[in-house]
Formats: sequence, structure tokens, C-alpha cells
Amino acid sequence: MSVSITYQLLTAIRKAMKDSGSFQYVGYFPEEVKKATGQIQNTKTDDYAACIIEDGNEDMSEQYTLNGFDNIDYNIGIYILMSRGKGTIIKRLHDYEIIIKNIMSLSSTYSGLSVNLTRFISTEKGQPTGDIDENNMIGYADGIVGRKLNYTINMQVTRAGNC
Amino acid sequence: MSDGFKFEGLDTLEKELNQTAKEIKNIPAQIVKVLSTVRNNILKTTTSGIDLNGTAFEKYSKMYKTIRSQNSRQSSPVSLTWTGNMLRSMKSFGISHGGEIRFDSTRANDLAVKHNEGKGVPKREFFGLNQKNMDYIEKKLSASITL
Repeated sequence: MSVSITYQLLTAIRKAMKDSGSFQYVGYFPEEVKKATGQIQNTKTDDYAACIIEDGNEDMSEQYTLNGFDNIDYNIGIYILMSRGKGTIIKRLHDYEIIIKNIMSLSSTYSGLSVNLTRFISTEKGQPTGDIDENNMIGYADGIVGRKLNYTINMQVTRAGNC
Repeated sequence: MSDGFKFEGLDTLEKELNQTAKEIKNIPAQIVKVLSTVRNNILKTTTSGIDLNGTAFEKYSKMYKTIRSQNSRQSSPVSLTWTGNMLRSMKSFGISHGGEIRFDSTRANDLAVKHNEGKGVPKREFFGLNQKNMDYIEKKLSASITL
């Protein structure tokens, strides 16, 4: 006879297609964060991060070709499973979301581009209402608020190798 | 040959994600810590004569009260304790991706099941996670992650 508490990660990577405006799930990876991050970098599809080129630099710059979509939505949900002998109760403990948006297609004008990374931090149980106050607090349907951080990663256009 | 975008500043993102990974790796230790408190709560509640649902345990029978009295044992509150071995063997342990509370001896476990499920004795459900404990676990674990 025992009771147990375990946790599980569920990460989801979604891409928003530029043309349709709809999200498409790339996959769910119930693995640890670094592995999930690796999944982002190693996903091989025609239109999603299809080309990763080693540029020889020791900094963390990476090169991607990005065609046909304008958002990457990367979620990490942390769930706890409470097994109390009479079934298991699952609770979403934390949700962590990174949205990479405004990614321009290859045909776009290159100058002055930037990638905005929006990081959601929340313990919310409902869906965000989209209301953001002056303190970057996000309103949620159930009244619980999360914190939103914005930062920008500079993007530089380079000539890449064979893709 | 085709054009590509070069991202600079991915080290910032990597730093964020590494911090996330670090915190996630700490979750099992946090769970064991929280379960240790839950175990103590169960112990305290049980020895106070209260069951998992907050109700007083069914009283001991007259015959059993007499036996307890002859052996210098209290009969009130009903504490499910004779030598104390059963409740002492209830401990929290770390398991893969979390933790659990269980009894560390087969004899104690068997006895606990009898009490909890009322097998051959009046049912006195003392072991498990009630809503209060689950709320406590959720609150503590949520606070321990600062992602």
C-alpha cells in the first residue's frame, strides 16, 4: 500500500503556417527540456528548420532556413501525478511557453529583421485572455495571472550552405 | 546554395532553457521533501484519532479496551498504536521521477491494509492522500518552481 507523486513533462512544438494562419503541431515530446530543445534543432522536415548549418563559430549562433511559417510555439508543461491508491489525479503544475514570432520568409526583405521571443510564465489553469497590464502581467480566464517577459534576439541574414 | 537566417543571441535562450532543465531536475527532491511532511501529517492525524476524511475513528470494542488497559495502553483516542511499529514503518522514499510514502516492512504493510480497508477489523482509513494533502502538495511544488 502506497501513495506516490511523480512528475511528467509534456512539451509541444507548434508551427503557425504563414498562409493558413493555423497552427500545426510538430510533435509532442515527453522528454526533458534539453532533449526537447534538441528536437527543435534536429527536426527534419521540408518547411521546418530544414537546414542547420555548422558555421564553425564557438558561440551559440545557429543558422536555419525558415520557410513558410511565422510562429514557433514551444510549450513545456509540467504535470504532477498523484497516485493515492484509488486512481491517479493529474494536475498541471506549471506551463512554460516560448513563442518565436515574426519570422520572415526567405522572400521577405532582409534588413532590420528581428525575432521576438515571448516567454510566458504561468501557473494558470485557464486560457490566457490576452490582457496584459502595464506590469506585463497576463490575465487568465480564471483570474490567475502569469508573468510575461519579452526579449529580442537579433537576426542577421547570411549566405548559408547547401540546404 | 540558398539564403538563411543567422540567429544571434541563442545563448540567451539556451541559458533560459538550461535553467529550466536544472529546476526540473530538482523536482523529485522537492517531491520527497513535501511527501515527508505529508507523512508526518498522516502520523499526527492518526495518533490524534482522526481518519483520512477528518472523522473520528470508530471506537475500540469493550473487549479490546480491556486488553489495552491490562497492557497499560490508552484506548482514547483510537490511535492505531500498540507498539508503534506500524506507524513508524510508514516512510517517504524517492522513486523514479518523484517519491512515495509506503511501509517499509511487509508485516506493517499488511496490518495497515487491514485497518485501512476494514479486513477483519473495523475500517479505520488513515492512509492515503486527502484533498487537504493534495492541495498542500500542489501549492508547495508549484512554489518550488520559479521558471
